[in-house]
Formats: sequence, structure tokens, C-alpha cells
Amino acid sequence: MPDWQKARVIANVPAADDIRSLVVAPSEWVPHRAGQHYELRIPGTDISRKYSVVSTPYDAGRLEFGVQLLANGALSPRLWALAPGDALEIRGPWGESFLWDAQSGGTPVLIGAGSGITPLLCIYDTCRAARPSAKPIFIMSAKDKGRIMHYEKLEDILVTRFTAEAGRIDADFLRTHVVDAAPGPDASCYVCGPDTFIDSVVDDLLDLGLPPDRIRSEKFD
Amino acid sequence: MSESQKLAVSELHVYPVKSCAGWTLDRAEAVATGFAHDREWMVADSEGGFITQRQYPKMALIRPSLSPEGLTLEAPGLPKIVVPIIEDGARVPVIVWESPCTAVDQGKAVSEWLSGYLGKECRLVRMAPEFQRGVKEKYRKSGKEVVGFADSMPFLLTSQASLDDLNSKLADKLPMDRFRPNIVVSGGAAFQEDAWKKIRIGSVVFRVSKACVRCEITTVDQRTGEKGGEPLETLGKYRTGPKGVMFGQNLIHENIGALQVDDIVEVIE
Repeated sequence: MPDWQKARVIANVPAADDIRSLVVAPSEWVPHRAGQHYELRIPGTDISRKYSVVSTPYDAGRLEFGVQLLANGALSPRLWALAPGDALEIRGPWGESFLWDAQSGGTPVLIGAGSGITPLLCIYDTCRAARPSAKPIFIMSAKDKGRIMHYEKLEDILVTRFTAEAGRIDADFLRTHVVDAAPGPDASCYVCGPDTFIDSVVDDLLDLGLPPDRIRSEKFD
Repeated sequence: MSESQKLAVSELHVYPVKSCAGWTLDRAEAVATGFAHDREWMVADSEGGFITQRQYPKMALIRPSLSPEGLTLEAPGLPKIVVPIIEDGARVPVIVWESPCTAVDQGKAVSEWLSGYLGKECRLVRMAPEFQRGVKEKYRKSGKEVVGFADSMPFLLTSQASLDDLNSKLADKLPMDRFRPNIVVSGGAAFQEDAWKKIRIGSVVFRVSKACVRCEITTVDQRTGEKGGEPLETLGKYRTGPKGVMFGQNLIHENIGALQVDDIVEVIE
């Protein structure tokens, strides 16, 4: 089992209106599997929270996290305040239920909301690196484009649902952008975001006939 | 039916304050909202959001008890506090996941006690007597199903056989209290409860409504408040479904009555 280790902050910069990209160098980096997360905490405190790894397992020696600022948050305000050179403690990688591997993973169909983008970014980039001929589908629901992490890198490939204009993702949207997009029989859906987003999207995907063993989700609460 | 197949209640548990230590009982009354006193109280932050072991694992060490004087809370390093029950006090809006509720603030003294223990502004609340928190629409049948401050359902059932199966894969065996069930069933096969649709225990009939998707509270040692990686890592390898890692089944009762340890569990459907 992983243990707590020190990590040094390399960069901490804005990546969306309410998300910062926090990059750290762990004392002992190991390659994670796409979809996994670490626990983070400020040294000398006992409040830890889970953050998905955004960077790919090919990016040796560094780990990128997306930290969404929660006004009432016990940790995110402190992570936002970190500067290059500051120390952090991390534990991981964890996660066996939300993974994509080049060997066994099918074409990823990624469906996210808000900070749920983080493990999906990792799966997307890892897939592009490991299986360049694959055609992943990447769907993001957000209030507007300012809320999407690394939007400028993604805007050409992203299927977006801006809830401020169009409301929440529904079954019709998923029928058009998942079922009708025909990603192929090896496609696997990865859904990540708040609790109610997961419930609604997963229920819709099941109702649309997608097999349960081809749907995986990770709740961010 | 052979001895190993006989299904019976082996444990009954009630958790009066959401996310705090529970009571182990020989007998429990199923009332409208679930077992009497189960999740009757909850800790809420200054915006009415619910606070749980997900954010503050040391809540596992808060031990509640009930007496004619009220609700007593004990926690390591603090003098115990007796909270006279305020049925009809200041109403506060609170929210459990997406479910808004009207609750009654249980007062300043316990608020200070809890805030000091957790290191966060918070208060103790109890469901307002006039407020009925309905179970989620899609799981209702009569339309009258209600629940207290539990996440979504009046009961959680787990089986000893399922825990034994999980523990066979773990170097450090875990106790059932990681899963915070209300009813534990002994006998039968691992994960048999996933196939049940309706069961009877004593005079109470239960609909088996959905698999319980587990969160990181299962990784908290309920005796020490320490968080680890199990059981989610191992369950993640073989118990993952579309909505996450599953262990146990949520139940909705169709009538009220008393359950006792050793009651036979009858699978009707």
C-alpha cells in the first residue's frame, strides 16, 4: 500500500476560472494508471483530499493535478496558495475502479462535468500517446468555456454542453453524441463529475442500451 | 435448507448521529423513517451542508447515547456533553446530497463542542417534526416512503458471507463496521443479496431497492478514525459497476415492526 511522501511544487497556475493546474515533483515518482488519483495534504495538518492525476504516466517525475477552488473548502484554498518550491505531502496512486489501459482499454468515450474533467484529461492524453489511431470522444458539461480546464488545448476536439445556454446533458444529447457517433464495439464510457451528474448520465446511458460493463464512473463530491 | 444456507440476522446497528459511532443492538424497531433514532441527528456546516467522515474521518470517534436528559456525545480529548433535545426550536435549512430538509438547530453549546472537535464551524441539527423527507422519486412505490438523514435509503443490509469473501482477498481483515450497515445477515453465499428483490424479517417486509455504491468512508478505521486504501482498492478490482464500487443492498420497508438478532431472513422474491 502507498505511503505518504513529500513532493515539491513545480508550478501552480490558472487553468480555468475556478481551477488551477498544480504540478508537483514527488520524491519517489511511480507511473500511475490513467484514471488514478493521489491524496494531497499540507505538511503538518491532517486534512487530506483526493485529486485525480491529470498528467500521463509517460510524464516521468511530475504529477499534474487540477484543483477546483471551493469557497468553503478545507484544503483547496490552501492548495491555491502554494508557490513553486513549497512542500506538499501526497499518497498514492490509488484507484482500481476507474482505469484506462492501452492494452485492455477500448476507445474511450469521456463524459465529464466541472472538476470531473481531471481523470478524463489523463485518459484522453494517455490514449492519444499509446493508441494514436484511436478516436476517443470527449464530452464536457460546464457552465461556460471559462470553467473547462485547459480549454484552449481541447477546443478543437471537445463536444461541449454549456449549461448556462442549453441546460444539463440529457438522453437526447447522449443519443446524438455517444450512440449515433458510433465509437465502435470496444468503446468504454468514463463518466466523472458530481453525484447527480453521474446518476443522471449513467441512467441515461443504460436506458440507451449501453452495456453496464462498458460504463465506469467516478463521483467527485 | 442446510445449516450454512439458513439466513438469519446476525447484527443490528443504529447510527443516531449521521457519520458518528453507532449502537449495536439485539432488537431494533423499524419506524416510518427506518430504525428508531437512525440518523435522527446530523452535523451541518454554516451553509446547511452535511458534514461526514468523508471530510472529517474523526467523526467515527464521536459516541452518542440517549437518556431522559437528552443526547450525550463523547469524543476523545473532550468532556462529554449532554444535549437536551430541542424538538421545536429555530428552523434551519439543510441539505443532504441534493435533498433539502428543514431541521432544528440543537443549540450553541453542542455547536461549540463540535466546532472545537472538528476544527470547523458547524452545528448539530435534528429533522423538524413537520418535515417529511421523501425517498427519491424513482424508488418510491406507495409515495409515502420517508427517511431521516441517511444518504438516501432507510436501511442498508450487508451479508457476512460477502465480507468473508472480501476478507479472503485481504492481508489485513476488515470488520463489518467499515460498511456501517443497519442489518447484517449470516448464512448463504457471498453477494447473494444482489439477487434479492423482496425479503421478510420477522413481520417486516423489505423491498431490496438498489446496490449500495461505496465511498471513502469504508476506508476509515472506525476505531481510530485513520484513513487507508482498503477496502476500496480490492473491491474496485471485482465489485465495480456503472455507478461505482458496490457492497451491500439498500432496503425500503413496506411496514413497521421489530427486528431481533437471530430472526430468520426469508427471501420472498
